[in-house]
Amino acid sequence: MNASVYEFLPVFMVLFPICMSVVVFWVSRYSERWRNGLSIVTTVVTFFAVAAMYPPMIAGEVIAYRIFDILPGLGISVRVDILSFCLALISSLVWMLVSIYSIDYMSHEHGTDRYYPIFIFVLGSCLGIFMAGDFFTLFVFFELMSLLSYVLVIHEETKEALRAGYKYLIMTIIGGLALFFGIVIIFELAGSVSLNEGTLVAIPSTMAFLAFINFLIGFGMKAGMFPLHVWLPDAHPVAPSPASALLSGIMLKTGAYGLLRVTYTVFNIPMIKEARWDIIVIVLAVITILLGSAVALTQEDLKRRLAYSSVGQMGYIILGMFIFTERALIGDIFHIFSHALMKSTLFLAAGAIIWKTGLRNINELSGIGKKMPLTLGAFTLAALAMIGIPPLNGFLSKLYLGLGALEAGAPIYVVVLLVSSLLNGLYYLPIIIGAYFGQDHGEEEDVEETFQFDDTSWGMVIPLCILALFCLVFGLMPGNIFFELSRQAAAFLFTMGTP
Amino acid sequence: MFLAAEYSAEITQTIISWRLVAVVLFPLLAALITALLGRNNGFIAAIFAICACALNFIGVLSLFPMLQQGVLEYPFAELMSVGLLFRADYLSFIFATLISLAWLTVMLFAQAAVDDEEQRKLYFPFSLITLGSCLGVVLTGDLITLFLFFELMTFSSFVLVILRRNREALIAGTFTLYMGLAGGLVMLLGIFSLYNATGTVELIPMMEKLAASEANLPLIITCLFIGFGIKAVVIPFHLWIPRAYSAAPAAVNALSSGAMIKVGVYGLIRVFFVILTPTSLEMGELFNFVRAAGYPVMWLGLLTMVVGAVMALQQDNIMKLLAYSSVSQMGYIITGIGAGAYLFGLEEAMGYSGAVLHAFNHTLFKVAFILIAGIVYYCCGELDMQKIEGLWKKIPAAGVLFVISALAITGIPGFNGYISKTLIHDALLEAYYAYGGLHIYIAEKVFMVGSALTLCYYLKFFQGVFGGKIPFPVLKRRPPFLLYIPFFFLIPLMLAVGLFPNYFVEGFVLASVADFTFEPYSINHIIGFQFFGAHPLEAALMVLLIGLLLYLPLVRMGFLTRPLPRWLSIEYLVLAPLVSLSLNILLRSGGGLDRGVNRFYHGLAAKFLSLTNYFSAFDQRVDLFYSNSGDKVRNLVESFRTVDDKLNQVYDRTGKEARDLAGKTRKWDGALDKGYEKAGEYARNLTKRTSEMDEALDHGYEKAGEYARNLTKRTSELDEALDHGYEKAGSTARRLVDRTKENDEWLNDGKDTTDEKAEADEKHKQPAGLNPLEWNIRNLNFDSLLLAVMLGLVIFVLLFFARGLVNL
Repeated sequence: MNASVYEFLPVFMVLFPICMSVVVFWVSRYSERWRNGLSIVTTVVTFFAVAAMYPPMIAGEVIAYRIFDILPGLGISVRVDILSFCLALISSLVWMLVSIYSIDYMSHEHGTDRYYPIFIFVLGSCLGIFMAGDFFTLFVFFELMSLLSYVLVIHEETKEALRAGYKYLIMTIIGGLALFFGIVIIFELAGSVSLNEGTLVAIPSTMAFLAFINFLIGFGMKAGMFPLHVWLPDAHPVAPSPASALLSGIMLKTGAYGLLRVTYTVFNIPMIKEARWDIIVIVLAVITILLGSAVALTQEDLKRRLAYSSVGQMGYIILGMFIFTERALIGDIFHIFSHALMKSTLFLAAGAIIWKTGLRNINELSGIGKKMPLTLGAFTLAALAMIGIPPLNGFLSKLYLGLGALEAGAPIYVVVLLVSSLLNGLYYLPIIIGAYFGQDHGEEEDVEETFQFDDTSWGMVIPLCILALFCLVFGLMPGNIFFELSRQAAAFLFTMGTP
Repeated sequence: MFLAAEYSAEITQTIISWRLVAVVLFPLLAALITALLGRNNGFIAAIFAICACALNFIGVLSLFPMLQQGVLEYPFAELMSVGLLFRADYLSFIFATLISLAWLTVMLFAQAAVDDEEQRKLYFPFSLITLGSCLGVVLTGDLITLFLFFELMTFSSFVLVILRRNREALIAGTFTLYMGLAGGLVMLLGIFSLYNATGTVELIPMMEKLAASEANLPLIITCLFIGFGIKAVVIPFHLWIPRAYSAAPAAVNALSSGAMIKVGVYGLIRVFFVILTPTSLEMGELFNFVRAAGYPVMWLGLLTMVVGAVMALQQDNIMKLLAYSSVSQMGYIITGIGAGAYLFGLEEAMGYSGAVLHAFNHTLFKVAFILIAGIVYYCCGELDMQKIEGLWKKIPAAGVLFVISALAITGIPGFNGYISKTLIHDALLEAYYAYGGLHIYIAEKVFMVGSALTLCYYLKFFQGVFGGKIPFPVLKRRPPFLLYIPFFFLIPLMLAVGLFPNYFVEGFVLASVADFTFEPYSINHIIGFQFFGAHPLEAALMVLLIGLLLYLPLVRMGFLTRPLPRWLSIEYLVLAPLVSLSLNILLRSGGGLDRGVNRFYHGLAAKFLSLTNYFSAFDQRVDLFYSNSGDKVRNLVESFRTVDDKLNQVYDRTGKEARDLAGKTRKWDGALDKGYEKAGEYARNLTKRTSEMDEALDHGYEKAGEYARNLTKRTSELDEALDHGYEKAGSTARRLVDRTKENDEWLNDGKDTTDEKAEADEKHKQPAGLNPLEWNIRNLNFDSLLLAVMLGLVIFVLLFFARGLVNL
């Protein structure tokens, strides 16, 4: 492959799903099989298109060019560096597996003709965010993704879903406006919103602070940061499980990605440190972590508990990027990978349980581990990873976040991480214990005797198990690609952020 | 065997050996196979598990020849991205032997004791996983790898604790799990801090690095101490053990006491005798920290020992009694570690070897005790001492085994407990010799009392279970011979250690010191130690006497049956408030915050909505206003139009009227003209009359003038005549004075005539035709009035203008 192919790939991986969504929409009128097949093919092709970028990315190359200008200095441009690649890789990977899972999960659902085109369109816009070369392009795709995923949120069209969707929509719009305002301020201050020009604003000022706060609102909203997280625990549980997995696993990360870009590209570390803006974010992130974990403990609905857990985990990611040590940043980016894998596994497993049994309440799940061993096995693995049990991937990210925090001389963050881990244990373990060892149900006895394998369909179990295995593989195995990528991305960002 | 001093002088080399990893991973693999086998036949699975344990025991022992040459290592640099490191030195080997031995014996017991098919399915695979993870903990070379296996042990032992799957077991298991998890996380904080301070998590002496870094050393040590201390049941962290023991079967508790809590001891030994020590003995001041850390640990150990013993005395459930006995015995070990650390650089080997040997001994006798309790449970299905009686007559074999084990644990010379207790006691005495002071003296006495209490609660146990005359209740079933097999391993070892102490201490325990930075003097002090000298024997005797003396009053006072008040328990004092407080804070504040934020947004939205409502109402009102005003304007226009129409009409009418008026006016005009003409005529007439009157006046005036002239002429003539008369009078006056009066009269006459003439004049002046008396309004004609009015108006106008002029 020559360089031109790599220049073409980013545009391809954004436009291909978007174009295919039209095709899928058209095809869905004629054949359900073709529609499903094309959806999977699209996500698979997109994943491989992203994965094909690996050689130049790991070599540290940056692909950046401008497609066209709308105004001088404001236009659509492409920029792929290793951080974009990390996010795009995990997104397209999870998307691919979730699309396979969707086929069986959605087979009983209504409105699938609407679901699949939107599903792959959102993939395209999500990748667009990561491939964007400037904040304007990023904003366009950000809004596209946010607004379209509304359709995924309200898919069930229940009253609850519509309510949650309404909340989501309102907050998304507010976030989008704040983001836009932030971008305008940066454009005003620096004359450019490109991601390719290094630090854009290096001197703290009131306007810069205003821009920072606006970015924080815009991206923090998406990332579920306190006090902007309120839409998340409502919106994620009501969506169909594959969509929840993507919402929690991937789309939250776009907020984190945006914040990473803002912190390390628009501004830089010395400036933020000097202006002490990091304290605001860190305080919010700590509250996010503790609040998400504590509130998750009180939730009875399985998916709602997972959603609150996402709030807490996003707190780790936001905290990690403002600790400002390279180790913490490695942990941070690796936690983006880890959380994507863990949370999508958990949501898919929850979805499989709901699909199979219709049970959502945690107290009703006793003894389910015997009926659905593979699903619960995957759930257990991901939940243990979430608690941070070695050798799963959650431990590794926690390790690096903790070491980074200590390096920065702030053991209190480690205490926060560990308290949150304990709380994770307190709210995940009862589910698992109840599922395997609970014996509230009388019907359990016949199951014990016959031990019939009664899991969900293979189409759902296989992606689920692959994701769960990734939790183990990317924690334990040598030659951990995700970890290597995180390390390089962190080094890259860190040199970028410290001029 | 070799002498430890020689051994420590050897330069150790590092041997890379896969066998190390195999020893750890083999049980994990075997667990998988056991689980698969267990699905069909529990017995085969049990046999397989026993074989696996035996193989593993042999595997561990086979490491010994290599260990004589050096330290075994097997690194996985790439695994987990931070690298895992397996390493075995002599200390690891001691603990690995102890663990795999305990496992082998317990498995032999479990094969017969765990007879529930469901329990077998879980017990054998998970106990093998636990074995693997315990071995993993002791055979690793860095703290991260250690932590990995530590957590694995926590989770797999959870399944063992809840083996009975009843409510009590689930609660106890969950409690144990959460405590283990919390301990693991606290330990993790310590590991992170240590890594941050030194850049390595390897288990090597790193006091130099720690001293050089500005790390918070007490925090690190506290974290690591808590992490391992929860497993090693140090006093405030022992809460899980009585719960777990009363809920779990004996086969699990024996593993727990025999091996799992020893893992905590292993960790503490690594922390205090490896991590906190310098690499060489030259820098004396580096000892200060470990000594300072050792002192509180020593006291904590004594506290654990005494509190555990007191609590054990109180228990009626024999498993709980054994659980507290384990707490108490762990107190000895912790005391040994603490005293060793406190004496670092002086007599550390004494405390160290006491602790290690006691860990080994405790495994032997506590496994024996728990298995005896298991046999009791097997026979009676009951653990409550109140309900069991007189078993001595029913199962005398168990009674004999119990007595032997009790002699061992209470420290009767000739049994193994005596040896390790003597060493720990001696460490305390050494501390007293080295530092002096009342506090260490007290510590030594506390140690004696604690040991004496051990005797008391085993007496209670014996009396409760084996004593009593009536063998009641009737045994449910006879214990099979298989249940006694483990004792063929345990009892000989107890006796062997007790009878040949120096052989074991020097060959087995002190050999491990080679890898540590220990003062050679302290090592040499133990070599050839007189265990059966007068001093130690005297101490043992004292303990026996105190124990017997304490026991009878305690029984009399009913202390053994009356439980301590609840408010004294650590659960009540510390744990419950702490847990409820922190959970409350977190949940309340977290939930409250979350709800608050949500409510805030909802409130904001509601406000916003009401604002928009207000705006829309305003809008409506504006709209209404516009439409209203439109109406009004229309009305207005309408009314204007009507007004216009009316005006038109009015104009029309006015026009007509004006025309009429004009006609009338014209008429008036004509009439006026006529009037004017008439008035003119009248005026002319008047003028004529006036001129006539004028002429008549003129005529009158002329006549009056003529009369006047005539009068004047007459007057002048009179005057002349008067003059003449005067002259004449004058001339004649002198002559004619009397005639004066006459003259005067004459004069008077002249005057009268003058008046008459003036009257006549006035009569002449009056006009001829006009009579002024008749000049009044009634005969004033209109013309003259009009003229007069006009004149008046003109005058007014003139005046008006004149005033303006004046103002100008």
